[in-house]
Amino acid sequence: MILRSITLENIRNHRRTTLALVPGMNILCGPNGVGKTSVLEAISLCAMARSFVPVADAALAHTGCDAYGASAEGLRDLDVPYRVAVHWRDGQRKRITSTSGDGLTARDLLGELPVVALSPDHKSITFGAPAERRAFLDAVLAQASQRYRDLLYEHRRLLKQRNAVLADAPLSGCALQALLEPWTEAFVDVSAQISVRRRTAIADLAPRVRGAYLEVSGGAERIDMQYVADSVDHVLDADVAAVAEAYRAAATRLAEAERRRGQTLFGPQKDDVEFTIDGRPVRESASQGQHKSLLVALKLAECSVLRDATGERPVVLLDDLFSELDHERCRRVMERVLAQGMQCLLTTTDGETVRTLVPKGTAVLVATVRNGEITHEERHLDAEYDDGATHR
Amino acid sequence: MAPDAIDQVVELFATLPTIGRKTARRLAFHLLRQPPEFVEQFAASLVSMRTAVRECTQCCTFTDRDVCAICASPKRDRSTICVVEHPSDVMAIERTHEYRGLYHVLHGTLSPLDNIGPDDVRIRELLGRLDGVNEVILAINPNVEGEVTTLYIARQLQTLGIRVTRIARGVPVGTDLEFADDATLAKAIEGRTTL
Repeated sequence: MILRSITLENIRNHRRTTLALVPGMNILCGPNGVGKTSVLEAISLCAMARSFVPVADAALAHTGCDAYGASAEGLRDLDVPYRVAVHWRDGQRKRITSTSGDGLTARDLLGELPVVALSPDHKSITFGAPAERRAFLDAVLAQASQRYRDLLYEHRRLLKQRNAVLADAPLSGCALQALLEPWTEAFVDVSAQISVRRRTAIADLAPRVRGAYLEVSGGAERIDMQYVADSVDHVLDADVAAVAEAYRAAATRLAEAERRRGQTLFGPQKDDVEFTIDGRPVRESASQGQHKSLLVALKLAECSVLRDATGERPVVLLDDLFSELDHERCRRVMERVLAQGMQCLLTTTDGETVRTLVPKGTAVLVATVRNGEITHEERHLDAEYDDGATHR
Repeated sequence: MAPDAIDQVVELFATLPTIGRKTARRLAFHLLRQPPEFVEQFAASLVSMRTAVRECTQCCTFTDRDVCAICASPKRDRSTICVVEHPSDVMAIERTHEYRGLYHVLHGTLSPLDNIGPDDVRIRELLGRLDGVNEVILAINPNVEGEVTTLYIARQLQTLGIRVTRIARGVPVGTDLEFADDATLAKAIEGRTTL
């Protein structure tokens, strides 16, 4: 997908902003807090009906507004036009329309406009708790497969329902067993499918991450990824029936404890992904620089997975990359993204420097943002200076 | 008529499914333009429907008699029961003219989150009417709660030696495979049959 334009209505400090984009590198520059990242968030809203960082809808809306909207126009990789609009009003469900239809849900939207976002907030993927890594993996798989989105929804629902049965304390052992059994069976079935899909996805991601890491860091360390699955880790082959059998065994083994605690104690909601660098766990032994390179490598690998799965080049959103990586690494990231023909949007406080790092022959837009408005736009068909400047 | 009375009617219409405030207002004003006899008859029909219609003592669908027309009919095959979620599902299956057996309406699905257990849907009533029944067809909606309710009933029936089946899930008739959504197609492949 190549986006032609993005429109923000009452998002953060933007009143109404429309920005025409170029197919290559789109640089949004300006001091902190002027509304650069909001443009990236608007694209994220158009892609998955939420920002790429956790934020409440009310906080996304302009101060004093109880509604916001984001819309985008683009061209799919098969040259079919694509349009999408997401509108939110306080107390109502988001109204989502696209070329595919009206009254869509976030589940319908995901994967139509594949997006890969990299923000300083994503550091928690390699640093933080297991939930962060599951969220990353789920986000990749959810954009790549509609079936996976449905499985995630079913899993969440089944987990809640099963916990509700377990929390109903007055039930005696036998009555509980009869009531719990069908929920367990359905939960085990969905859990096994999720677990196997995640394990397969890790096997697919690992070599891509390894390659991207070497390219970005310029180092020679070896990155490995291992899926650490609760209760079913000993099942080595990615066979749904075998994994389901292992979950069933866990359900029997943990029955007593689950009844005491009143909640589900097994399942993919407890899984983790372990990264190692030269055989040592990243969380314990990686340097700051290695963490950063790994995060970027994960996102670049996500790009290639999504591209293969959806047949569509994802749009890449790089939020404040230069505050995190040195210039040389940034240059390599941009080079790799652009070499694969992906459209890129990048925020920075230093537009001049970024422009010098964009590979020659790339279409470049430099847009200056001030107080929620685009005050200056320059378009270049390649990275030469001083042509096509337009002032507003 | 005081505008309060209009507001009250609008509020009431707006509580109905699929009716928003705008439509509710249109309906209220439409009724105001009708002759008073029409509105009286309209209101009376609503009241009499509510008082006359109850659940069939056998299949639990809505009826204005003790036993609904389907349960009372001598032409129906009494050895087969099709279990559905809502009375409207009975009508949907009847429209096909392909099914000759009886029905059983659950009026819901299991949902512990909403405190709905087996005693809150008509499962006990189903278990009480299995004399002479050879097959129970489970035709409950295939969402998360529906699937679990299907599993639960199947477990209860298995011990009784009755044949338990479920309706097939698959690609809608008259559409191309490429337009079927992934989940439907996946289920269709899972439930494939031998030729």
